[in-house]
Amino acid sequence: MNESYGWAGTILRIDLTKSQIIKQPFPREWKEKFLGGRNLNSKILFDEVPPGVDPLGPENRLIIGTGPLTGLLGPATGRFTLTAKSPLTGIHGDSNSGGDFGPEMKYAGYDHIILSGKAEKPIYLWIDDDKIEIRDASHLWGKTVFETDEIIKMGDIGDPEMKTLIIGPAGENLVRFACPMANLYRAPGRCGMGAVMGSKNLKAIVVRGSKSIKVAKPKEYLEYIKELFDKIYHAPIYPIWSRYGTTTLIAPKQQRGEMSVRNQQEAGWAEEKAKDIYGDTFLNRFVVKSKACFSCPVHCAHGFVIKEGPYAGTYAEGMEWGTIGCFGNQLDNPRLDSIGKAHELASQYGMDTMSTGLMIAFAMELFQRQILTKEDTGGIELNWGDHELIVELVRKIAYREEGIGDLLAEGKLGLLQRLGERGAEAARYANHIKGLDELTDFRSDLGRALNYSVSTRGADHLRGLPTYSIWEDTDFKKLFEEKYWDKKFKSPKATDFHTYDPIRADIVMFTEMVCGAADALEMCKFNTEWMGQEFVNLTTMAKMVSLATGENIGVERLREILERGWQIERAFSVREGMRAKDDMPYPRSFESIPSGPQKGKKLEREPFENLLQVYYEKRGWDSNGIPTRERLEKLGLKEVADDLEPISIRSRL
Amino acid sequence: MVAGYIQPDPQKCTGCRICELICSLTRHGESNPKRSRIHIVKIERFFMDVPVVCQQCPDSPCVSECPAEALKKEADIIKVDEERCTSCGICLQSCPFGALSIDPSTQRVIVCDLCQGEPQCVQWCPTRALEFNPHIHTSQKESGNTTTLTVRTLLEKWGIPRNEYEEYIEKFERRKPRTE
Repeated sequence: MNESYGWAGTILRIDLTKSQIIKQPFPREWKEKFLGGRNLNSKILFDEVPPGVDPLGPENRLIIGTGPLTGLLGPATGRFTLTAKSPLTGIHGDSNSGGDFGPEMKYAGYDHIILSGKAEKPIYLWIDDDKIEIRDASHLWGKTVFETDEIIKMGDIGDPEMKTLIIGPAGENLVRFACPMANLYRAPGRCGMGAVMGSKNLKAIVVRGSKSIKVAKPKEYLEYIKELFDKIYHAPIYPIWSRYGTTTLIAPKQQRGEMSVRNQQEAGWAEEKAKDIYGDTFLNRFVVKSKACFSCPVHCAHGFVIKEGPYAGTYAEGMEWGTIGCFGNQLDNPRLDSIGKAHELASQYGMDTMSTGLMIAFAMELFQRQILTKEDTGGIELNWGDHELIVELVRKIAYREEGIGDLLAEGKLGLLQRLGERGAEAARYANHIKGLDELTDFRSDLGRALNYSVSTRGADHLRGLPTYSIWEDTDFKKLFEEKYWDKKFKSPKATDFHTYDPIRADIVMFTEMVCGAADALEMCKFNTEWMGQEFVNLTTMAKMVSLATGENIGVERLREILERGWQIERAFSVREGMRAKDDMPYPRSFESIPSGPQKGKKLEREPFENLLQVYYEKRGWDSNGIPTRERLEKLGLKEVADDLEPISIRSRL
Repeated sequence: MVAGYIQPDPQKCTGCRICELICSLTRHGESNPKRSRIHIVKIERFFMDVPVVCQQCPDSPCVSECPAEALKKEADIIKVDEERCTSCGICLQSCPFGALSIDPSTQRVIVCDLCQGEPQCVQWCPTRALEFNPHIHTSQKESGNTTTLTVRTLLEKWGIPRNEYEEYIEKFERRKPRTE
């Protein structure tokens, strides 16, 4: 085989129905047109999962993708993406994670793993360099993530240094927002990838690799990485980010009036409650050390221990703002110790903390409005801020306990369906876009609203949130971002978050591109210009890839590669029936914020529809949000255009 | 040649493994933690990261116990004679720190040689969890498995319930270093 630089060079396919294992060389065309990571995963999903397939059936694929930089020294260059048709949303689904699993997969020699079919009984995969075994997992079925990891590492195989990706009871029970866990605490959380693993009877993937990833120009690569690291250490955001991580965002959210309380009925919380969940509170009360993902100089994560009170004895790695917000303010629950417990349980059971918390928030509002009753909940009163109940519900959902557990495990779209006639009324309070939910109120930031609306996996900030509004009204903004966006887009409208101006679409497309690049390379977005580090941009990323792989990838080519991925993700969901109407935000977005600094803000339907049309046109989509043949062919995606042709014709009739 | 040793501080270690990567890149121009002379031992449940690297013991049991005389000490640095090394793994077992390993590419033992007095792992460590101490280390041989000793001290300090970590660490201690 030819020498491979950056990439490991092999695609591994495993058909779980037939127990068939195939290794194929990484196709040259895939490298050139899609690069890797999420970007290539999306192409594989589009090619191999036809429309109408049951996401929890054997025909769905689970694709694990690393990027050309995964496993190399670089700014957090150790991520991987799981891609499948989502059992939560029914459209394109993927989720990305840090930790050591992705790099280990590369060291074992594989860039992407494509899983299909369904094992007859519970199994796990044991990948030890070239040797691949499909092993019985009947003794692991029903065990938590932590238990499974310990049994495999200490018993079955006996090497504590292997890297694992494991589902817990939530994945086994097909909770629609279940996720597998990497390094026990690192979650590719969104879109229900854990349920896809569960549906395939796949309990875990265990990897050990001892091969090298070669670098085309090691000396120049190393010098360049040194330069980038130096810049990262000197960035104004570094001292904050490396100390607090995303928990630093909590206080500004509250001050800006974006803190969603009680399923977004209010935006802004009582200050005495809010301060109980601030980053400083978390650090002072519970944190014992800083944690980092693979090859990351920023170490934004933490290890925390709860030593007192009813949740004493709780300890885990985490928590992110997303977790704290969804179990905290969204549920009107300022008890940070209970949030820590919910987080620990979600890690053990393998469930997305965001969707879990937001699902409970939805249920609590339905109960408040008597749409859900004690008959549905099995006699339980779903009261706001009941921290003991919140912790208990995490368990009930993971085990799909009869009644409320099973009901909430269905996700928002599933629950609305289960409610039958009540579904229409309940839909008014179902805050989601295309089945995926988010915690931040976007009525005060049109850029955020547009980003959530057009995101290819449903409402999600990691798909290209324009981050400019995060620091508004904080001293911190001055440190590094003063007029940055205005300068970049050469318009004062860039930071006017309330104007329905075409520049909103330009900015969203720009941030989508930066996030897409990070996902294709499989590095962390936090170390890019997406989060105030303008020196890690598309040009930088193209240069890193070029030095590592020896392929000459300029910034224009990188843009085209990323554009292909975005179009294909959209095309997948269009093929599943998604149209422009599905991009419209949920009903509450069009109601005024009742109180707080953003009081009165809301989206306006017609101007927002017009803004969507502006975005579609710039993206090369027709008025119904369908990618046009012209744009697809320009990108060399004729086969995608052919696939969409009948849909485009029907949509024009 | 500067004598001394690399002093790890597991409290500061975040588990990023940049040390492993820079070690293998500097040596071999490629990325492979298993070719690195330093290793981060992780006990994930307790978010514990322990840098493990040669502590340059004055009495160097790895040298004295090598049956092939493949390990020698020159100017306070352990040198490996690749011709003589049979990769039997005895030195791996004899090291109180578990700091030696077998390079999967050459099938020979590898051990830290302090990069001519300028250890790259120390220079690249983001949190100063690794510091170069230019003094000769006192032997720690008698104190048993030093990694798990450090681990216990930290876990106690962090307030993790003892009954939960003892069982795990006992299993962890019983594991054998890989020699294949």
